[in-house]
Amino acid sequence: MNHATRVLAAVLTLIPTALLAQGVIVAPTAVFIDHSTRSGSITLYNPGERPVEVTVSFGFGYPTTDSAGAITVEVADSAPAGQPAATAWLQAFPRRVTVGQQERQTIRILGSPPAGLPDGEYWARLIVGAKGGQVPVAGVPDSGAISVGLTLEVRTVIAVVYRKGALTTGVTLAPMTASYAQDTVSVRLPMTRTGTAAYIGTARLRVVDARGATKAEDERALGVYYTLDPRVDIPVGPLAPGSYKVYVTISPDRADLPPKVPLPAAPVRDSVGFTVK
Amino acid sequence: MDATQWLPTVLVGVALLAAPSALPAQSVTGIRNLTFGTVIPGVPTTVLQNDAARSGQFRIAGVIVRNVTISFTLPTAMNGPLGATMPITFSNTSAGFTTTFQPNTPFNPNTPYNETVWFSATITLGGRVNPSPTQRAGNYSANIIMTVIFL
Repeated sequence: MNHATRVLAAVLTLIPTALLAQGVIVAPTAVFIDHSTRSGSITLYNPGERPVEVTVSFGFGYPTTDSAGAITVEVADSAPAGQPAATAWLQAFPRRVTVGQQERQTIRILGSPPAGLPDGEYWARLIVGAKGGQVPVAGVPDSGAISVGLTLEVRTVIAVVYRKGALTTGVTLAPMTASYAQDTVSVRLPMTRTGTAAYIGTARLRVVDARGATKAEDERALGVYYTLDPRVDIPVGPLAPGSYKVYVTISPDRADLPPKVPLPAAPVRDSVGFTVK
Repeated sequence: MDATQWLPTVLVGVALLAAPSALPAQSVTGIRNLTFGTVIPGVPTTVLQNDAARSGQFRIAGVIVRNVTISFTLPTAMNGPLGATMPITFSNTSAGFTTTFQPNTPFNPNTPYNETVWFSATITLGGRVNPSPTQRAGNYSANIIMTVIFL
């Protein structure tokens, strides 16, 4: 998918119900801060027809996988001991703001790390809470009726990465597994990060039959902070009995991030076979 | 599709393209409140997550393909007049996840839910209120928070 298509898709999907929406658009999709500037920013945009109250705070968390290969992030208010957390010394300005209808607001993020901070990468999660104006519950109390309604508040959580010094990253891939069921090929990608920084990249997968014909392709954004063993489900439709292979390439690039953000690393390639009976 | 549906898309799309920050972005928005309407004392009322008019509705958009974790902060009671409260519960099928490529899939809003969003997704939420036979008349309300973690 080229850039124009991506932008069009993003535009078409961002605002289908803008007039009614209680929330804000948050850009970019992750914040990377270099120690030399110690600052970054995000832009908020309210596409709705009502002002939105926005709060900005920080938490700590990174992607992990469960035994089934589902990726999740548990965000805590503070980081466990020993983690490279930036949570305690990042600040957002302003932390609370009302974004008017169809208005834009920049939030500055400043890092004030302790003196003597060792070279390395430090992580946090930015939490953007948005609350629209209260919608009155319908009904007249004096009538003796009981009316019930619940209002919605949304929180968007994105990664913040603070980098100091020369960093390296990479990923190793343990033997993969692949299986086919219900018109879907499921692949497990057991990865371990190397180096001194999280591996930000993309996994591209291609399912081919015994003659080398491509049956399906897929790609997934990756953030390997320590280890990650995600299950990638690739819809392929009905497959004839026979032998198939899944070719995987993991490379340090991401369609949703500027090219300089992912640290350089050699691509990792591997394949795994499976049989359809 | 009438103009109220597509016009905002066009207007905001133009604004995004014209903006200096036409960067990849994501949005999480509350589209429609969860509304039980008028309920009868002593009679439990359930709104299904796929109720087209009364279920709560959220939307995740602006991504190409992203794994997300969706979690809810849900009330156990609603606040009414003069300190009155009314219990509210959410079952393991009270929420639903729908994308262009995936039909409505019920899930439990009481625990974090992991999914892959392709371009956009709609999350719906129902629930059940249980007014007592002597429930005080008036308006009852509470707040629901949906948190979406972009992985």
